[in-house]
Amino acid sequence: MSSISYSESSDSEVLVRVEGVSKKFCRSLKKSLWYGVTDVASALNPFGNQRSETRDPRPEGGDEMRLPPLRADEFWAVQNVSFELKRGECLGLIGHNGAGKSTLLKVLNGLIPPDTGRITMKGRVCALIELNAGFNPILSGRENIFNQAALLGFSKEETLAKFDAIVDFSEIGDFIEMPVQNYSSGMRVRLGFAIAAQMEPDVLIIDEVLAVGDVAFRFKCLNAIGELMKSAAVIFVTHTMPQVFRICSEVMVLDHGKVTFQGRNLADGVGIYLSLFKGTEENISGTGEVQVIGLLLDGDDSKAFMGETLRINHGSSLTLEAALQFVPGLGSVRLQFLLWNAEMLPVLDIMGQDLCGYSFDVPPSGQLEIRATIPHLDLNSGKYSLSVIAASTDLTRTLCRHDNAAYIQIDAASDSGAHVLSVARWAVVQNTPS
Amino acid sequence: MLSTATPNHRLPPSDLPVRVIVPHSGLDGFRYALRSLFTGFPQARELAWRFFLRDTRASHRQSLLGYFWLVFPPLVNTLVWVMLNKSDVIRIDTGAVPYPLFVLAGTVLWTAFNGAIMASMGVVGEARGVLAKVNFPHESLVYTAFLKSLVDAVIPAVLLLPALWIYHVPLQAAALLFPVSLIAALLLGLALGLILVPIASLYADVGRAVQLALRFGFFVTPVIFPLPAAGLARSFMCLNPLTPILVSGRTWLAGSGEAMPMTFVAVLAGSVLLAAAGLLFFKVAMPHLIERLSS
Repeated sequence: MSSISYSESSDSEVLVRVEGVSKKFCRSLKKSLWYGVTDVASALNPFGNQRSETRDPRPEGGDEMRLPPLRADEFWAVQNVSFELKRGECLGLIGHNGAGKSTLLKVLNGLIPPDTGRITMKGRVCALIELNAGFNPILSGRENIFNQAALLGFSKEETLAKFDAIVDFSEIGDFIEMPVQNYSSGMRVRLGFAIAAQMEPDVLIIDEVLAVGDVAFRFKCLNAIGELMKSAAVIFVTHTMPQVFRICSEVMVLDHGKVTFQGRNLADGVGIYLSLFKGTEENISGTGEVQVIGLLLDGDDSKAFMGETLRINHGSSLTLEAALQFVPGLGSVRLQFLLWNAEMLPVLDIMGQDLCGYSFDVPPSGQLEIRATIPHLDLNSGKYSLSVIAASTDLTRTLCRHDNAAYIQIDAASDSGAHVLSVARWAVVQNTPS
Repeated sequence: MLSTATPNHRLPPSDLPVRVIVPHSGLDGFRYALRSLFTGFPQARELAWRFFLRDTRASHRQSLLGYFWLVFPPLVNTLVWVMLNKSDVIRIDTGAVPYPLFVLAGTVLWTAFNGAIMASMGVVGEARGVLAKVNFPHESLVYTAFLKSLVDAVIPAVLLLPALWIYHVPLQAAALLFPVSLIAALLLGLALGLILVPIASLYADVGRAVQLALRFGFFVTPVIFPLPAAGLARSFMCLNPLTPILVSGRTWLAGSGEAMPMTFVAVLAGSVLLAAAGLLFFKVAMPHLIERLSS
């Protein structure tokens, strides 16, 4: 196959092309160091084997990629990743911890060489991987701006021209003359981001740098990234799903180095990522004066009991029946049900008329069944866990908190990323002639 | 260096610089490294200067005495050997050259060599933090190490001027060749350090072994004593590439003694070639080293 040509109009805007990239690592440090020696030795051998990869590094044939054999204690950190990005597109890279996302970013950034495959990038590449990597703590913020900018590829004139914009964006003010070792971690990240954001990159690689910083800063950064994105192709690693829905145009899910999903359907991709995580076990806390001895979940077409998963569609009705046992001497109790989504956000609180738990008196028998019905459950697709919470009437004591008592799996035929989908009544309002 | 006249996204697509990353091997890898050493030189040079300024400023900000610490050790070293010689604990005959000047010149050259080899061997260890996180031309680290060892060598060398005056040694034209021998010592140290960098950054033993070898080497190199006129010791010491540098440099400075010019030129040329080869090998090996380093 001939080398890639960029003359076709559809190809003319492709800024990133990744073909069959794989990277292996070694588990044992001692072996890793030794492999380092042998790799360097074979790299330094000018008459080393001209592997076919140098001429056509893409793996041959179909879906099953023929990878080179692994040496002892080695494993594939990233296997056979391929994608293309045009200007203005953003690829969200998600996966569990250790899936190979940061490794892939390092390979894309040119820091470590891939073992197979080919990466083609056009234009200026900027990586926001660690923002204060080149900072020298003893020097002032001003001096570090010049050093960091030089490290990122700016010339001194460019840095001088952008200096004021950098200081303004970072909101560091007069502290810019202070040694960086006295900055808080938030200030350091702000400064690092301000410098990198002034570049006008064609390809932008971002690795979870927005985890630090307060809400205002994260908001500012997301906006800045949104601006940069208009004129660049972006590869974005994150663990925060709302960010994926906010700025990505396509998503890739990595699971132990392999690509398990790749495409423009963000909701599907995020769903696959979330389904990788096993729910936590049942957890019972509280004073113990109330116990949940049975649970029934009833949807339109299906039922489930305690510990099981109820499968229903969006908009289905939901009836929850809890069988409770009480300790003698309790007067009245408030009961509520809470639904948590896969990201441990409490999305639905099922309560009584006064927007607190449903209040009732404890019968002398010490046992009771309570039923709550919701005519229309509008939550979006996903797996939700149910908590049963019983509290004293004045809400000062939690008598029972039973987490992960049961699960509800909702299917909604929608690509939306919102937590709740509402079907509204729509009507066209006539325009009154002026 | 990328064009900075217009922001890249306003350049027509065919004008954008293209970077292709492919696992290189063999001659391909060397050609690629050589090309990027040349095309990347302006940026690498500017970055090296920035690193040098940054590190020098930082180390001086935390120090009261600053460059005193560069001048003091060779001075004290010289004094110790002079005292030992004067009090007949050792008896070294340096002919027409006054012993203190002899020792100072030798120590300055040896310090230059020692500093260069340790600085170049340590480039990867020092920049460990930034290597695994930012993509920048790595040869700038080597250029910075050379600049630093140059400054660290020149400062004590300045002491030689008052020393020449104190011992009434006339300054001749040949003395202008002393700086050449200083550069030669630096280049030799740089070259040897670069050859060792890959293995030194993986295994700590190499650094230790080199330090030990240098300590021992100080005593089998004619730093504080002249090259013996004949015998097994002379043949052994002539195998040492540092010997012609020391001998020639001192002779040119002091105006008397044997010169070994041909051997000196051979060693200088060899150092230049070895340093260039070392730089190329460094460039080829770096990506493989970065993935093995802890960051």
